[in-house]
Amino acid sequence: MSDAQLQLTPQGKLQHFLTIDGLSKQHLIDIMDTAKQYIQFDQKKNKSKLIKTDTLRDKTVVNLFFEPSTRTRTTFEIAAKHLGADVINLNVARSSASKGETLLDTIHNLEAMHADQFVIRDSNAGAAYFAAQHVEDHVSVLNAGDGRHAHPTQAMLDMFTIREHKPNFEDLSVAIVGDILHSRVARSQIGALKTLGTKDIRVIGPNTLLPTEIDALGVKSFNSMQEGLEGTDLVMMLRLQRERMEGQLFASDREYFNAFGLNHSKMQYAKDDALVLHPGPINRGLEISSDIADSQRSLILPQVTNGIAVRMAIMQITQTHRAEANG
Amino acid sequence: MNMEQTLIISNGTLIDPNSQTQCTAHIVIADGKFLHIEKNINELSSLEKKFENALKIDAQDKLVMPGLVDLRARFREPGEEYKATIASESYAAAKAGITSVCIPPDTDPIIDKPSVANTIVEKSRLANAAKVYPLAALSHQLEGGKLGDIWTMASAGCVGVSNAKRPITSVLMQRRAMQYAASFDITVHLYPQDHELLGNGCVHEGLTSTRLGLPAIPSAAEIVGLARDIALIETTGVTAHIMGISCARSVEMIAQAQQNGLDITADVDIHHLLMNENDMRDFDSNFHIQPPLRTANDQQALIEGIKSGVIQAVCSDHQPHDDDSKLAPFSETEPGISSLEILLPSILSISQKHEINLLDAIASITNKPAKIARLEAGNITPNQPADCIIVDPNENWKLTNDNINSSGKNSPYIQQSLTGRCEKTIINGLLIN
Repeated sequence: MSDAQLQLTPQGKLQHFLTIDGLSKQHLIDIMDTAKQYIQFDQKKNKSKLIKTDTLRDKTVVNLFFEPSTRTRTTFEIAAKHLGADVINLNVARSSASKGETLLDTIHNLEAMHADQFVIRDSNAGAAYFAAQHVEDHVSVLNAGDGRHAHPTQAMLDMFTIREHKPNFEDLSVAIVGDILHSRVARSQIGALKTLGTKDIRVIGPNTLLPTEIDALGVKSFNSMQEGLEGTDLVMMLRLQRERMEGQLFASDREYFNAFGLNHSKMQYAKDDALVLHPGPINRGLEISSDIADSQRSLILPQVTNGIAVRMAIMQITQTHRAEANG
Repeated sequence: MNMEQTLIISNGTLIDPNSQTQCTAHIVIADGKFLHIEKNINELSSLEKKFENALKIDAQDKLVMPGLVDLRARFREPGEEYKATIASESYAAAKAGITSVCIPPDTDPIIDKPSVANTIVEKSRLANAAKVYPLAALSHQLEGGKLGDIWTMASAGCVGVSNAKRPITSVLMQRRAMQYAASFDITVHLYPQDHELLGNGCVHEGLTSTRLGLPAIPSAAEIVGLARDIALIETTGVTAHIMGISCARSVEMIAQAQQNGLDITADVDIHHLLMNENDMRDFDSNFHIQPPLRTANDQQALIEGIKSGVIQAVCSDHQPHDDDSKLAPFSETEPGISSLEILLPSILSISQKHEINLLDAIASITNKPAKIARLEAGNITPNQPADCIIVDPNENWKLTNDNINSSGKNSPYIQQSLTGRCEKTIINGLLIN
């Protein structure tokens, strides 16, 4: 059973969240609609506010992060706590070269300590899927990023953020810029945009940062910001994944910024009301300039707040369906 | 039953690619060798009278062919007995119809001393099943830095030298090793790979790696390595055998080299004829192999390579694993498939499906690999060692966890329907099963 199939109950309900693959448009809409319940927008103060509940009151959520992360781990922790759950954080250095505890043993040990939900981040593609294949019937698994493969919660919070401003996905032209090759975020974003009906999806970068056969995913590739950003509604910037690159995939930082960095003049190629997203953390002056990152056109900070609401929704949905399916 | 026992295999369809024979015949085996091949089927009763104490084996409606010769199978002993042993795997090989096996030198200790080679051969003799032929280490400790004791190992009986799949990091060293081996007419088995381009990849660089985000191995890794190998074969004049190619371009390059008169043979492992990257089940570690499964176009080119004779041999590339080696996220698992059991039925099905005539198909697993490894095997000829198998070409069966004889159950072919099965195996005139 593939990861796309394993994450759904026989009735087609989401019981793990491993990948955008195989999810219907309705699945994505349900997640966004549920997330909407957890966030209130205060028009007067021009700020959003998160709603707390206790739907996961008797549950223990374990953040199992085998790759360093403060931001994602923190948002999952906040999300779990806002649902009333107990949270355990495990930062484990793990490599295939070391003779430490296997992923499987770690999971079984934590299950023996009555964990109900695992949020897993690992440097190996397929890690969360592997975990989901081996957990007990009542335990759900969320993929917080597996190697270069997928980061589905990030894609969902991006879609939620886009929907708040430009809900007509079918008519949008979207460009994803940067290190697509090593990006699990990009893969999940492309999947989500396609499922929601977006037809004009572009990736922009040098050939060393673009995966082969990307066209087969229904995406157009560009080596020039001028051509790639032409007429776009949304510019989704990616962080340069320095820790994932084995050697030089781009020349100097200065050259990268000049060729592919997003600044005010490059934004002119996009539509006048185009908006900017970035999963964070940003490298100011490398992939994005400060004036754009801090401008009204940037949705970077709302993405963070939305991320908590979206993760609350996903945690609650999966845990509920998993419990339902297994009595 | 002993070596002195005479056997008569009667009424079978003899398939002997070496002599281009495909006809009904009776075969007489005595003193561990083929004694007589009788194509006049009416002579059976007079044969039975002449050899009245012979054990009679009726092979009506069955194929009788030489015991299969497998150029690459790992039996994990010495060093990794928790995965498999010479006893378990030589038995599994024999039951699968494979009677001669070449063992790569990457055991632990490495096959770089006569004592290691002798121990392996001795253990296989005790197992009394498939015959085992160790390949010696091309470089010291397989590290690719210094020459191994090639002459000593060849004198001790090793049928060739190889660096297994370990990197030969120095081109200078590779050239010297090939020059040196050529001095003594030793065959060098080369695995075409540029290790920098290989990196930590675990799938083909293309659609699958893009979709799944797995670290990838570009075709260039093999093509660059092969270009280097061919250039060195040309300048050193060594007899070379290229192991386990996976790319369409590699077939072209080898064809060109052969046309230019180079002494170069090649093999492909059975999986690359049976599958391409689209057949992989996502993240299923049973599909993790090296070289990786590539495109449908590459698969087709490899099949054409067998048909045209550019690729002479097909091997199992058998790699039995313990469960833990495959129970982890894909890129952390060890590559390799347990494959002794599927070699024969797969060659039969490929022969049918791709219209390769049976003699040519069987040649790729009998006399042609035997020639590459310089073995007295792979043919049914009077005075040759009596290694042969009786095959039911029509038996439909399924590979299951229970009927895999190998210690390694790591196979993506489990529960797949197979047609054709080895029923009886005779080695040195002795009925093994």
